[in-house]
Amino acid sequence: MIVLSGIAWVQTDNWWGPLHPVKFNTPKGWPAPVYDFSANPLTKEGIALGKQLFYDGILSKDGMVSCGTCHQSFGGFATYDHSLSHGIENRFSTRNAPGIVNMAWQKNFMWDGGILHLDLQPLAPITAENEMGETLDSVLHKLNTHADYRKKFQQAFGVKKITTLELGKAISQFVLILVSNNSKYDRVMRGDDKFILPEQLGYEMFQQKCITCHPPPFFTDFSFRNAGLAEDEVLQDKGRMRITGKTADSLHFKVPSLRNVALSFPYGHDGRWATLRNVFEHYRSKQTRPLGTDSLLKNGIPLSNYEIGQLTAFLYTLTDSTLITNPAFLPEELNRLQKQERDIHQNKRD
Amino acid sequence: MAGILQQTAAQSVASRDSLTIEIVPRVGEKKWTPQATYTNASGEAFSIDKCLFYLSNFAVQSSSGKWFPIRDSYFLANILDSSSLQIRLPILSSDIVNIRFLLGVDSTKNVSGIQSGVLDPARGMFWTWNTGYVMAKMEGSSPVSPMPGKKFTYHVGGFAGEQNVAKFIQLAIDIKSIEQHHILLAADLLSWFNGASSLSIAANPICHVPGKLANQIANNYQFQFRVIQ
Ligand code: HEC
Ligand code: HEC
Repeated sequence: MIVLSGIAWVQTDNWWGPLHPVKFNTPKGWPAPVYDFSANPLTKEGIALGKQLFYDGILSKDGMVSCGTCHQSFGGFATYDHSLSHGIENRFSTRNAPGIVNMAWQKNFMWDGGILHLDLQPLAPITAENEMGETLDSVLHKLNTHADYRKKFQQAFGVKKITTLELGKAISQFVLILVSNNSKYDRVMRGDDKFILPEQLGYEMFQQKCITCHPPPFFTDFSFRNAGLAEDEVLQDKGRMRITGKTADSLHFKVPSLRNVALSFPYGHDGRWATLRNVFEHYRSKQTRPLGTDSLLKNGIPLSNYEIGQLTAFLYTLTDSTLITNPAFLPEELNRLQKQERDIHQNKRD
Repeated sequence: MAGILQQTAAQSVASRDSLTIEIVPRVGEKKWTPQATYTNASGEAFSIDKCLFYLSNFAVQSSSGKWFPIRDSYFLANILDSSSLQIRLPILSSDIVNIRFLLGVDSTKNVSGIQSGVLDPARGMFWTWNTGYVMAKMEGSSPVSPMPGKKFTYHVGGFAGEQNVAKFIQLAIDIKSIEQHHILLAADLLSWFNGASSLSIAANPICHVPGKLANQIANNYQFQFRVIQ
């Protein structure tokens, strides 16, 4: 009898909680996160829901494009091997998708900093015609008529009707846990590993030539700068100026993080550089830079081929293999597939 | 002064324990209708299909001079939705001489993540690529518009620094309307076009970003309100 009524209670419509709180761990030595966790406390339920949404095409018009389509785990949560990310009906977005790790420390988002809160970030791709091509009303309608999502939103946020607020919070919960602090570089800094010689030399050179704009632990100072890229004639992307309206901000883009940079090719805000080699060629080129180029880059950065090799070796130490293999971050289908494969091997052994 | 205000704007519905501000959309002296054609100061004929604006941060002043802010007072007036034009404030007192509100949404709400109710981005009054509210929006058509379908669209927003278009509006209230708990407030939509810098549809059929044009339009439309009773 007791068991039965227990089940009945669980099944009632207004069941909410108990939730399982999750603590956000700030890596040792890192600053406090910018994200206000008190307004959206992490829970197991919220994170699981956020992950399901992140990998679900339901947020797009044709049902085919999810956040994970453009932010791929194996690309460090950037788009692997595509200069401009693909959206619905094979339309292209106008910028290169950045790796979305360590977002809890970022004040504003996008290459131009136009989005001022992480919870608001999903609204841009969902409603962009060339990305997911949806309207908020339609997405909310799909979710509110989807029994599984309704149940999960109610469990995680205690709401009967899903609104933009809970949608944004749920997705943020998953994005926030994508913390990348387990690269070889991090292990070396913690004293658990050692650079080999080229990495060590590259590390030292990085301190001299790159660190002003790409400082650890995020390998960006989050500022907007003109790195001396000529404007693309087709895209005519003015970067930060589109947000501030100030000509002084023309062609300024957010300094990108270099974490997982070995995986996130191509490079640059419009993906114009296919390889790291191309980036270095840009930095060392002596040709005159467009007006407004950052004073640190006005005359380029002198780099020999040797130095490029060493810098590259160092940049490769920023790859976090735990990030791209952690089942908590990967789509559930992939986890199931990998588990099956393991099971087959086990059977063979048996 | 205790009891002049209730806690939140959301609750009270009965007219006796609230003050209703009824917005009457007009174009010049005429009541707005969707079919009618009007003429602006640049001599351009036009009609208006759509117009919405946020009203927020209401406060009332008693005869002693003290201001009483009304917490969580956010409203979205839509000329196509008559119930949205009835703004109910939880004000019990009849001792009110001035009323003040923001035509738009304060910067705090622009930067604090996703809001709900009338501030839900799903209301369509929010920019997702340069996040912030469209404080006021007008759409219509005019034979002089160079845009497809002869449309014009003015989405006026911006909250940071020089781009800020949210305007404080202060209006004197006469004792009669307070006693009836009902204020009739005309919103003259012609003011969008006519003012310090007249807005020509032929020259500027579109405003979709914060900046100079948005500021010009907001400087015009900030004078749209007049208490008529
Ligand atoms: C069609 C590809 C595409 C889809 C789908 C997509 N994104 Fe993005 N994302 C991008 C691109 C491109 C950018 C950079 C845009 C810019 O700077 O203008 C970006 C930027 C971001 C950023 C900001 C990163 C930073 O460093 O500022 C976050 C966070 C993000 N996306 C999360 C999401 C989430 C969550 C979803 C699903 C709701 C999603 N994205 C769907 C392509 C995509
Ligand atoms: C003056 C600041 C500045 C300095 C110094 C600087 N960078 Fe950058 N870096 C930037 C900016 C800004 C971008 C983005 C450019 C764009 O796309 O418009 C960038 C982009 C990159 C990218 C592409 C990353 C991606 O994901 O797209 C790499 C790699 C990179 N920098 C490496 C370096 C290295 C290595 C050094 C030192 C040799 C260096 N940078 C020095 C500002 C700087």
